[in-house]
Amino acid sequence: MPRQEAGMVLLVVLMILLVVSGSSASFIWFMNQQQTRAGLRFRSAAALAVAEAGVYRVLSILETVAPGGRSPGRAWRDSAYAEAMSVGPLEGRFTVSLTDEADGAIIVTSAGQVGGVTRRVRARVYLASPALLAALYGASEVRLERPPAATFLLPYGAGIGDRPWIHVAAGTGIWFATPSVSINDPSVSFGARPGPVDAPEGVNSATAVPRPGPVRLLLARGAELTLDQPRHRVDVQQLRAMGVYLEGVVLRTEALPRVPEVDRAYYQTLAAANTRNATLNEAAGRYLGDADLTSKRDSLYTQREFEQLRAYLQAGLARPRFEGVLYVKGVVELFGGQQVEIADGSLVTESGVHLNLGATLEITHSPATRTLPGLLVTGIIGTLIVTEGARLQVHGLVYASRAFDVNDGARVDIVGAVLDNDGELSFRNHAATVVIRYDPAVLGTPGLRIPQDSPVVAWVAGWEELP
Amino acid sequence: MRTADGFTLLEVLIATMLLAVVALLLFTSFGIGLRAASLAGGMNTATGLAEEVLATLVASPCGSSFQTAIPPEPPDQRLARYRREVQVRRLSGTNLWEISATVSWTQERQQRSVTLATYRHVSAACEFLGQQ
Repeated sequence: MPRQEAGMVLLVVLMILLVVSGSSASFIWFMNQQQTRAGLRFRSAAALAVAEAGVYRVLSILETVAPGGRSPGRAWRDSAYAEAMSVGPLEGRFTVSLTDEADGAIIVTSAGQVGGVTRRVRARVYLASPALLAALYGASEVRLERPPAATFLLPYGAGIGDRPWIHVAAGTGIWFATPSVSINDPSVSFGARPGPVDAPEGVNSATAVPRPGPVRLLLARGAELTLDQPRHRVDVQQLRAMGVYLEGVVLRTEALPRVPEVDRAYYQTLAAANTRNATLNEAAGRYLGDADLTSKRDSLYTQREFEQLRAYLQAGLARPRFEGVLYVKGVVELFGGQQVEIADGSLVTESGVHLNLGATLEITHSPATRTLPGLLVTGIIGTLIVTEGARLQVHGLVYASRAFDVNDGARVDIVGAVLDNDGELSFRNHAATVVIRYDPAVLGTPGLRIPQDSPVVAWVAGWEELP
Repeated sequence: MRTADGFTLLEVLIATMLLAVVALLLFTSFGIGLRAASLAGGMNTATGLAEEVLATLVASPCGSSFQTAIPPEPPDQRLARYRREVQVRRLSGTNLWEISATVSWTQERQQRSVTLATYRHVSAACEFLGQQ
């Protein structure tokens, strides 16, 4: 080997060793990182489970009593309530905070911490009356009269199969005037329009309506199932034997909880702030020569103003379409085939709503307005009557302070729930078709006051993990 | 030329020695790295199994799933070395349940385990509707 090449072997070996050592160090570092990551992943999963525990702890408090047991949980708000819980050999800890939103929602934020890792979740929670757990809730009697009366009570929305709800709840009883009136009869066909989270009609999709299942009933203490006229008391087996599609009856040992009250002032405020119908007011005012109506911006109407609008729309000079929340200080009556649509809103009245002679009232929502009520009929003569071929389509809660009476070929299609507070007759289907698809979003209906002595249920409307 | 040959022999000897020492260190380190990777794999698998068990237990909002029978052995035979254990208890005086899932296994002749724990409450809605 020439002198100038002396030491080359060592040099080459050292270079190879350097490269191999570098690669090996990288490999070892990478493998150790795997172990670190595995530990982190476990602590992260544990922290998430603890954060969720915090939310459920809050739900439990809201439905019962505040920590310490001295005040009702529904009024409990804390900005930094913390609790420790054991996670195997580790200690976990959640810290929760609660804040109120304008629409009645409570925002629950929970941070779970385990082994130095923190994960946070946020839930949107509503406190609601248990009355809103029924597709059809009558404070007194529910009557199904005269064939071809057909009533369909179905679930609506994804994931409802797991949620607690019931088809019919009645305070004093359910009367099947004949065994021929049908309830959820799978052999009877019916139609249903799109709900708030369905694609609009005609947009490349049909409304998916589940097949009617057997009906579960909830009866208050002393309430009865009755059949025929004159009435006689029957049980579930007898009704089943006669072809009524029943799953069972839940008998309560006490009265049903009181129906929540509608906070009229809340809806008056919303209607007063709703200027989306100003153009319609102005056009109707000009047509009728009413300067006050012409300059009216809001949607808080007297009975006379709403009558003027109705007359203007019936003349066919404008599309009969309102938007947002409407409040009418009186009766709303539609007849003579008149159609009225309220988009993304609600109709709240201080007296009855009567749809006669082929009239149609449609109140629809979008996903963003899903928790708004549809139709709130309040007042001491707050009856809701749909008759003589009239049609009522509503998204959201339908509330009536007096009877809800559907008869003579009328059709009712509700995606939400029906809540009736009449002390004598809550609901009557007399030779009409009623489809109620229960939407659990009614549990988030704003502007309802739950009586202090009534229980509440905490409903989680949404859930997300925070970064 | 003689001098250059002598240096070459010395170089080879030193190089061989260095290679031997470094190779020994490398093999030891590789062993440590592979062990770390194996432990990481075991822990990841166990965490996944615990998450799965917890999800099964809390599936029902009315609590009917809390008492789901979870066999100690996972159904997948490749995971036969893992053992699952659940604990469910109602917190006194509340409608709140503490649910924990522990997955244990033996690795490197040591007993190892991971535990996930959470709460679930059975809504008043379930009681109202007789669905408990």
